[in-house]
Order: sequence, then C-alpha cells, then structure tokens
Amino acid sequence: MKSVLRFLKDPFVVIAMVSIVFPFVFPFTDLATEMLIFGLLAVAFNLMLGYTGLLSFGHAALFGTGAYTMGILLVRFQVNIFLGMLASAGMAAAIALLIGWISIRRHGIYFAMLTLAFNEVFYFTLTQFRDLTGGEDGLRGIYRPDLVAGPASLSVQEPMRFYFFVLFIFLLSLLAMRRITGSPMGSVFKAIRENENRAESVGYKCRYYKIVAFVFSGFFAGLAGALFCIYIKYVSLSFCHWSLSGEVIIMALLGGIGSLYGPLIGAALVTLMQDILAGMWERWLLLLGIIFIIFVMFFQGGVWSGIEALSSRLFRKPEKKEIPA
Amino acid sequence: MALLKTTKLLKYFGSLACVYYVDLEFEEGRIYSIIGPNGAGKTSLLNLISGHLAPSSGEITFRDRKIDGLESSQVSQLGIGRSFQLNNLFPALSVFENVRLAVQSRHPGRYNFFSNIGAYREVNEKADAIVDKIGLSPSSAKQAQYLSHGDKRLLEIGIALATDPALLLMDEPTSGMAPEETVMMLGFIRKLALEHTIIFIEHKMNIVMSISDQVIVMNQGRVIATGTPAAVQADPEVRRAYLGGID
Ligand SMILES: Nc1ncnc2c1ncn2[C@@H]1O[C@H](COP(=O)(O)OP(=O)(O)O)[C@@H](O)[C@H]1O
Ligand SMILES: [Mg+2]
Repeated sequence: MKSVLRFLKDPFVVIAMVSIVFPFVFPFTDLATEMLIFGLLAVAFNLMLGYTGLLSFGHAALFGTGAYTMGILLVRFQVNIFLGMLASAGMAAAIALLIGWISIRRHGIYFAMLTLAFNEVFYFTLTQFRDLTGGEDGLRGIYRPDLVAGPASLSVQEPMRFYFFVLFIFLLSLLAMRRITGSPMGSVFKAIRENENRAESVGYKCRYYKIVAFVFSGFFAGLAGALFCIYIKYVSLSFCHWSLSGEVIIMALLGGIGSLYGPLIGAALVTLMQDILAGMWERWLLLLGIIFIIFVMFFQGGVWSGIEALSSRLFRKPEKKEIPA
Repeated sequence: MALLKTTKLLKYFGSLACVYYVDLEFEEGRIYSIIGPNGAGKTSLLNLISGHLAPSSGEITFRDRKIDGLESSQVSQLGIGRSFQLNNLFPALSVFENVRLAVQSRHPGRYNFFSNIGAYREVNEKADAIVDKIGLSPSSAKQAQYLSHGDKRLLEIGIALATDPALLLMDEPTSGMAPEETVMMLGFIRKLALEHTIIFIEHKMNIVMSISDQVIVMNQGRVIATGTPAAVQADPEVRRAYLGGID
C-alpha cells in the first residue's frame, strides 16, 4: 500500500496517468496533441534555463530544424517515421552544437542575444534555400506516415491514435530527460547554474558541459518539431520565427522552471489560451503578456511550485523547492 | 625541487601593478602564509597561481610544469585546490552535494548522463568522509546558503579538499570568524598540513606566527620579506609596512 502511494506521488506517474485519461474528458484531441508537443519543447528548453542557467532565444530554430528535416525527408525520401524523427532530432542537436559552440563563450544577456542573433540568421538562411524549404510558401506535400517497424504497420491518421503515438514519444522523452537531469553529468549542469566560477575552479570545463546541455536540449526540441510537422502536415518559416522562442520562454516561466515538469503546465496553458483567444481576438498576445508579467512579478516559482506547495500541504510534508534539486 | 615556483611574476590592472616581479619557491609538505595589508596583492597572487588570472608576464611552474596561462579547471585538475576569501559555494545545493560535486570532478563518471547520481559509491563515500572531516555531518542535507558563516567557511575549504589537492591555496580562511572559531580553524589547518602543502593568506599577522613554517610578506604588489615567522617579525621593512602593528 505504502509503495503504491509513493508510486502515485511520483510526478511522472501522475503526468502519465493524467495524459492518458485527458483526451477522454477533453473533447479537443488535436489541441491535446498540441499541448504534448509544446510541452516537450518547453521541457527541452528548460534543460538549459532551469537546470544549467542558460537563457536561449534560439529554440525556435531548433524546433524548426526538427520540423523541416522531418518534412523534407518525408517529401523527398518517404522516410520511415521513426528514422525520420531520429534524424530530425539529430539534426537539431547538430545545429544546437553549432549555435552552442559559438554562443557559449559569452555569459548572461550576451549569450541570450547571440542565440537570438543565430535564430535570425537561421531564419534568413531558410528563406534563401527556397528549393529545399519552399521559402515563404512553406513546405507542402507533407503527409503523416504510418508507423512502420519491420513487417508491422499501424495507421495514425485518426486523431486519438495520433495523440497516443505522440504521448508515447513524449513520455519516453520525459523519462530520458529525467535520467539526464538526475545523472552525474546532470549534477554538473546544476553546479554551473548555481556557481559557474566555482564549478570551473574544482576542475569542470564548464564550456563543454554547457554545450552538451545545449545539444540535449536541441535534440528534444527537434523531436518536438518533427512531431509537430507530422501533426500539422505542413512546415512554414513561422516555426523558426524568434517569437516562438519567446513563447517557449513564457511557457517555461509560467509553468515554473524549478522542476522538470513545471514547463508542461505552462505549455498546456499557453497552447490552450492561444487556441481559445487567437480565434476571438487577434491581440491575444497582449493578454498573454500581461498574465506573464503578473506571474513573473508575483508568482516566481510558476504554477508548478503552487501545485507543489498544495500537494506538500496535502501530504503534510512542509518542504518547498524552488530550484531543481 | 620546489613544488611551486613563480619567476618574475607580474600582473598589471591598467597601470596599477598588483603583483610586481614576484619570485617565490614553495617546498612540498610545509605551511606557508602570505600576509600583508589590504590591497597588497595577496589575492591577486593566488588568482595567478590558480588560473583565475593570467599574468602580464613571468612564469609559474608546478612540479616543473609551466602552468601560467592555463584555465582554472586545468590548474585544479593538476592538483592545486583553492578556497576563496568570499564564500564561493553552490548556494541552493546541499552541503553534501557541494562536496560531492568536487569529488566527482576527478571521477570518470562525471561524463555519465544516464545513470543515477548515486551510481558511484566511491564518490558518495568520499564526499561523506570529507563532510565529516570538516565537521558538517549534522548539516549534510542542509542547503549551503542556510549555513552559519563559520560553517560556510568550513564548506569553502571542504570543497577545495574534495579535489585531493597536493597544494592547497586558502584565501583568508578565518575571515569573519569569531576568535574561538579562528583558533579552531588554525588547528584544522595544522591537521590538513599532514596531507597537503598549504599556502594561506591572512591579513592579521599575529595569527600566522604560530603555525607557519614560512611567512611571505607583501605590500603594494611586492614581496618585501620572506622567512621564518621570527625572522619576518624582526624585519625593519615589515615593521614599517605594518606601522608597528605586529604582535
Ligand atoms: N579584477 C581587478 N581589476 C582591477 N583591479 C584589481 C582587480 N583585482 C584586484 N585589483 C586591485 O589590485 C590590488 C590588489 O588587490 P588584492 O589582490 O585583492 O589584494 P589583497 O588580497 O592583498 O587585499 C588592489 O588595489 C585591487 O583594487
Ligand atoms: Mg584578498
């Protein structure tokens, strides 16, 4: 009984259970799928901000790299879906390596500005390779492939099926990121966040660890991009626009950067708001901005730390964590 | 052979020479103290040795290997540990984790990104031993930022110790400590000297006299005297620099 209870207190288990039940009580399956995809992106982003203390403005480029890679591989080579996703994530990781290699030499706001500049360079470059990317028209002719593994194959055209496919990839990625953040190398990321100078002084070459964090983050951001590509069956330049980088930052901060899971909540909220408000009111970003300001000023730990405070009160364990431990 | 040697070491900030042609040799297994008034260049000298500053000119060798120009992480990996004048900890991490991170920096497992952090028992055991050695076992799980000042000073040294340095550099380990804490710290440094060569900075002269094998006196970037505590105490130039403040 006790072990069952402990099992249920594991946030990962709770998130898995909630997201399995979710599409049955929430009638908008496509929207739920989108929440998962942006949740994955936000958690990947937070490997850098929350765990390593690096603010990246370049995650739209990484997400876009994943989406374009998947799209191009599908349109030109009818690639196997799993292979395509792996290649997309790998490609985004490679771009992250490149951006990281150069940007990581600078600290704080200069680092953030460099990643933003790279995002712009990347965006512009894509407009130039019209043959490959479709330029301003976007990439067309993308289809959602069946899941093919050896002789077996399964269609995921139907929204509910696709949701569960995305959920499967999502949970797998979440588990992987949980292992990374709980690993010896993950502990170095936290040391860098806490005090880079001291981490360096005890013998860690922080530059390399930061690049590795960037690459991991890029891998999962690219995976989210690939999923989004086969979800919406279209890739456009807007996927790489810096404003998406900004949205991801808002998702993470709104949900709370102090844990692995907080950004999921932020991603779900922003995605939901966008869906409800964007249709009614084209200035919905204004509202998002105001909510964001309120959160940053008054609820610094984000929604997640509120949930944690509540649940620790329920379980009567008065311990508050603001930062990933 | 000297363990550490500086040759014509020079460091300018703009036109201010904070370390001026410093030639020093440090033998293995002894306790050295660097004293001098505030702004004498003591911390800067330590920063040059530990790779936190690059010299304007001159040379530093450690075990006959040139180390000036290396990054602080490289200097650390060669076996020079460093504690800081102002607490330089991982504030939101536990005492144990502060020390464990430093131990882990020598372990090949630091590159492992898929096992649980507890996977390397030897790392955890050694971290526990060091937390014990600095007397912080009861606070092992406490976040570093919530320690008392004295305990922070101990953790500061614990982190440096955890990297197993042959040479331990300590910048004012007793700073801000109450007199009885200072006495304990000096006892602790004496114990550390059994396993490490020690260079420590202190700006109060009386403190160093009892435990140092050699005293180095700095003033305005220059080394104005070196020798045994007694010899240095008798040195007229030292007396001038301290305006009779020696006792
Ligand atoms: N990073 C720096 N930039 C400019 N001046 C510095 C810097 N670090 C130290 N100094 C100057 O160098 C001199 C020596 O400082 P420091 O080495 O900290 O002395 P001490 O540790 O003996 O008190 C001081 O005048 C100080 O202002
Ligand atoms: Mg000093």
